[in-house]
Amino acid sequence: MRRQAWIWTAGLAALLLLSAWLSMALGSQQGRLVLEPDWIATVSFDGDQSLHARVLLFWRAPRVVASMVIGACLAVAGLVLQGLTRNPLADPYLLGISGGAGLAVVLVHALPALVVGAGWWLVPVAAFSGAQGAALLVLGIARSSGVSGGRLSVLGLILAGVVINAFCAAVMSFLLVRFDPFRLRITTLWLAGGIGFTRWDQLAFVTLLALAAWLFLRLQAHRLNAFALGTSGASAVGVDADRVLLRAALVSSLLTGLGVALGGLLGYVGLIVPHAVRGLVGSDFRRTLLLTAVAGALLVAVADSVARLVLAPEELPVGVLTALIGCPVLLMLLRVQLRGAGRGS
Amino acid sequence: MGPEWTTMVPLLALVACHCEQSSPAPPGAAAVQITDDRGNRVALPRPAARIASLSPSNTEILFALGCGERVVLRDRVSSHPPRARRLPATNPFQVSPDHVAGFTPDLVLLSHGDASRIEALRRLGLAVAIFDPRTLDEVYGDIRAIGTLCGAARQADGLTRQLRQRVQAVVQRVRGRPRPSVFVETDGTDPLKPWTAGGGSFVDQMLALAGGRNVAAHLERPFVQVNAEEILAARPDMILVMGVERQGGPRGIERLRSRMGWSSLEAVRQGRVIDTIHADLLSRPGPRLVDGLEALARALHPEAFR
Repeated sequence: MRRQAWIWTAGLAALLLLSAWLSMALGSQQGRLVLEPDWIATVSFDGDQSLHARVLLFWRAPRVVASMVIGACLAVAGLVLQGLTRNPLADPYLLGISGGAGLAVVLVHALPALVVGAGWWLVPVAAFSGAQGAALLVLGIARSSGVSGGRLSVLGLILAGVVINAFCAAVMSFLLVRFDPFRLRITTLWLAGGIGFTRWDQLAFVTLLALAAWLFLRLQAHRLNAFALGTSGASAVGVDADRVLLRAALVSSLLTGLGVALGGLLGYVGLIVPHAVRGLVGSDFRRTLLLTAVAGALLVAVADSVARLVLAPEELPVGVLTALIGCPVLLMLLRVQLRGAGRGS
Repeated sequence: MGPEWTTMVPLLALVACHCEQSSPAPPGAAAVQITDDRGNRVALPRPAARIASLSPSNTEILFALGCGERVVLRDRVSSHPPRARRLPATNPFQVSPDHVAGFTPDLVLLSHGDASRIEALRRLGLAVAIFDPRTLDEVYGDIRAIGTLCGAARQADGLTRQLRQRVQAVVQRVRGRPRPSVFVETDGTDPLKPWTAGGGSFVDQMLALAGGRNVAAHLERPFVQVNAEEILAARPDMILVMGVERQGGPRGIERLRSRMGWSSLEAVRQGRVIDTIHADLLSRPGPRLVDGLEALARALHPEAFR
């Protein structure tokens, strides 16, 4: 299993590099799709860059990196949430955590004076706070609705997520009514999951935070593994379950917030990827954490390139693509889950 | 679009070359510089020759100044003048810097835009100017600024002088006449909650100049959705229905008559409904605003134009 995990990770990493290379090489020239295999040659390493080189350096490259960071963040967040709650349907989007982050970002958009005054970092910080608030609420509601055998009930969690999502959507609609049509259109596109322009310094800020969060989770991997036994089971093997749960939930909402800050409400990445990874290498966090990050990065990087090119020069919101892949997967999982629950009772 | 395109590029280039001779900027003209509506300084080493015009108002201004041949890329909404429609178009809501750069413009004109994408365009080293005027005076200022960027300052001065004179003529004709109250319907897709133009919008400003009174002037946003009950209670003397040309179907008056309660309005019963003015004339902050103003004044005060 362990060697297999490395093989898969290396294989997907290679695919990731290939997709990054392709995204850099593929563009639209005056409405036509073109492949420039020699794109690296256009970038000069001394002096002035040509317009095309600047397109590569300041538009395509940061976007490719951003899509990878977003994918890794959301996928790992989903993986951790699923492990903690022992619930295969836990996904930052379904559980309303992305919704909380999205609401916070729309709030920031509604107060543009604030953004100008506070600088760009306000968006990720707001997204993180929103994600945090929603996560605590969802876990709280699900907990009060009943824990059976150290396992938060599937329905309890999903319904809590539905409630939080509905609430966030209502407040967002309220805020959006006051937006002028142009800003409304732009915000709606962003909400549908859209990766736009990110400055390199902003990207570095988010990437460093994401790396730190990932490292923290990796160091906690053996403790996270104990949650396979449920909260009480984890306590029984000597893990301070409440503390680990709280910290891991905090870190996964941080990851969700970072993903939302860069890419809007991108659904289902945190659902599909961890499932696929566990199917490949089992559910040991020591093996899944890296592979999930790489696979998530690959999924969103490919999805974003497709979204950028399929209607070029128009763009499709990436969220549309991930939802198209994610919905059938969710339906399948839901069927398996509910059938299992039916048999259990 | 492909084949049609390839044949058009050389054609357009030919047209451009031909018109360049009568076109405003003299060859070898000096550097130009302006400050746009967001306070950004925009400087060009020479007047713009390849322009990406990504909002209809800017496109109309460029064509009115005789610089239409320099537009290499427009936004989908830029539909006037008709020959502008032959230019390649892009989505104004999600401008792709990649796509824009492919046309190697030396100037990008916008009126709105996703702030991060505007920043991206600047990052590419493109000169970006944003013109989103709020008043007629600002429109004049923007015409002047765009003229400067294109080396057509003289043409711009001529155009604004002409526009000012026409506005003045309208104001003089309607002076001293009773000012009818007008309800403006910008979008009646939901007849129970039509959209109107609040105070400060261009329709509102044109109404005031044309000798009318906007019943929604107290709502201080350009686009507001209002409850139909409020309109009925306000009992406007006239109703201006915009966007009829876009929707097709029955004329404005028929549409209003069929709505519950609206026939109780004097304006509807007496047919005082204006539905023949193209919405673009009253909403796009370009030279055609004055066409809209004249049409509106004629509709409000036909006796003044006899």
